[in-house]
Amino acid sequence: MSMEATNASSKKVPLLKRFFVQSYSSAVSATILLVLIFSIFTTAFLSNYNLFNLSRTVASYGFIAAAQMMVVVIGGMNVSVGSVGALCTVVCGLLMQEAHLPTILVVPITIIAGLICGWINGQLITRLKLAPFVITLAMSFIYDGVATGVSHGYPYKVNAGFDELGRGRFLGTSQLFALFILLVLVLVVVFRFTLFGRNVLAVGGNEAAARLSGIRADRITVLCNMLSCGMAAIAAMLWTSRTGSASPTTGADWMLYSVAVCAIGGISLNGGNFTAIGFFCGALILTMVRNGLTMLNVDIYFEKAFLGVIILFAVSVESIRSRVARRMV
Amino acid sequence: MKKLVSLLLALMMLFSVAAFAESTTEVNVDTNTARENLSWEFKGDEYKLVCYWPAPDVFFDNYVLQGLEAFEKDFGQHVEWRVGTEWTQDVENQTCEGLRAQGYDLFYIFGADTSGANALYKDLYDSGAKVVNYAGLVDDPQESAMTLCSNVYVQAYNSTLKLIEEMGEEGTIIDVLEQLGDVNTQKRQQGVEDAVAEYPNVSIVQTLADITTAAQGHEKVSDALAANAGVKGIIATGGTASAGLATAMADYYAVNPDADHIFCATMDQGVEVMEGIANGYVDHTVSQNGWAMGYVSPLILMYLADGWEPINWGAHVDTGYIFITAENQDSWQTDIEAAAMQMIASLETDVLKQPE
Repeated sequence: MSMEATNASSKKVPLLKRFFVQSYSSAVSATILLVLIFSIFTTAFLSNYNLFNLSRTVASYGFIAAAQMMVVVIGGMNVSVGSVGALCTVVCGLLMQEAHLPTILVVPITIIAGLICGWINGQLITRLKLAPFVITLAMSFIYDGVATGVSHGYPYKVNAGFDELGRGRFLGTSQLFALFILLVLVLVVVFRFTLFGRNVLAVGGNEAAARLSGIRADRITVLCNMLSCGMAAIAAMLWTSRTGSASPTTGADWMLYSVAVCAIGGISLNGGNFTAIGFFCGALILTMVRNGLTMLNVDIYFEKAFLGVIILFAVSVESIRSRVARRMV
Repeated sequence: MKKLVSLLLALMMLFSVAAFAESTTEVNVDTNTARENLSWEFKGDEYKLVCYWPAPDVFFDNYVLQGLEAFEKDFGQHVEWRVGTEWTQDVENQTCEGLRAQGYDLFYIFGADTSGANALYKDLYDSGAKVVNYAGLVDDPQESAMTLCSNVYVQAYNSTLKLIEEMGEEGTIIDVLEQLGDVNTQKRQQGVEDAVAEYPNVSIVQTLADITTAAQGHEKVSDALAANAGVKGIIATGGTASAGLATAMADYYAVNPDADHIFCATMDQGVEVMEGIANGYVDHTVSQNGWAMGYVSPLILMYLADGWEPINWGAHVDTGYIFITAENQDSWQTDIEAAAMQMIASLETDVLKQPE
């Protein structure tokens, strides 16, 4: 082996090592692996229509996961994420179908509805000093009950042109995906370069220490809950925009998938960390697995089991990696 | 002050949401004519009737409840109707047992769990109540006097035959199912597969399942359409899956304006489905007779309370169905009315027998 080659290889090892110790490395590796598997074993995975579909679904799950992530980073949990989605879908649909409001008014009102839900969650969590899981679980019944009680399960028609966002293209991809990229960039800026972001991570990392250092932890908790539910409201509108129908059953399975994206993406469920690449890959992995299972035409009786195995695998890899990485550092 | 404003906004939101709540569509059946065909003079003044549906649902609101209200009006009886909070047997058991404890003894119930419902029916019968199962079949052996619902196998079979005919008797089909553990889903799947088996040039290219919400249906159908370029037909045999299928088809044509027409068959008359028929991306849907379920079930229970017995214990009484297409999308209710009338007229001869 020449001297140059030896030098090159010694330079490569630290690079790989540096990649390996990152919390997003397992998510990135899993993403690449899944793309390869589905590309090789299915004929339509890389077709234009499927990639377009995938980009839209990734974006939808991305916003849903962002709703969960905003409270996971402070060590909390929002069980009501799907119920807020359902309620906001109903609000959006009602304002369009029954109140005949223009889209430009419906969008902010729906987001405000989500923010109010989050404010209520946050206030209850900080005032009653109960676990976020318990509070948001109880609130999920209330939001869900109001959504169902008002809609009676009926879907609402949306304004003409509202589905443009969900079906439109932008720079070769979907508009939804472009929005998701924008969201990820905003999250990077917030968590890396703003005081608010750093305070959020500090509260998530060690709330007692954060309080001692002067951070108003309760205020951060309320704000994160508001952002969480606001994000759920946006996710609800994006999904409505894609389907062209405001169905009150929207959000029924959001809780599970939103937590899964965070876990797969290497975001600690104990709070205190955020990785944009991991978060992005987490949404991508979950979407690809669901899409890929349909593409592979797997046995319908075992489909859920396959999904569970792949999610478990992705989460386990991250757990093993983090333990090995701790030893390496 | 800020908190007060937020609270006021929250209250405003709730009130405005409630104020805009939607009304239902109407089915107009001439029940007085149907009633005239009944010869039995009912003995009781007041019958303690209960109608249970497992969870909020458009089908119940739009059709079953209307039948129930028409029955109340025609017979001067009150039906205590309840809709469960969750589609689980547990919630159904608790609600119905609670109502039984309050003295109600005539139940018509949509079994939440096709296996577990029988245990509830048996318990109710053992306690002296009478039960009619409706809206969907439950597993054998039957523990209710009878089941009033459409024949889901026949519906799925005939809907598939119609779809194949629309496809020109050739090509591939995507079969969209709901929950696999449901006996009704299994019968629907069998109906689709049996119909396809009769045509050598038609095959099922993919089966989708485990769909419990319209959103899940939308996502799965979109993925399946991407996976199966050139598919010629797609069929959903459950109402929820049909809603997802209809929105997915609208999305498919919006994103692929030059795409070939994919023949599409659905179930029920959901908003999304009827919009699909009007816009041409759903070719036909199957309308089940929910109105008859809501009207005839309590009527049968009154007969049972008066000592009448089912001719065949646990028999399936077919409430019928019709196809809705672009041609009859505005007039299909007439056909439903005719089916309901016929059913009411035949109760004393074909369904029940007089006390000896």
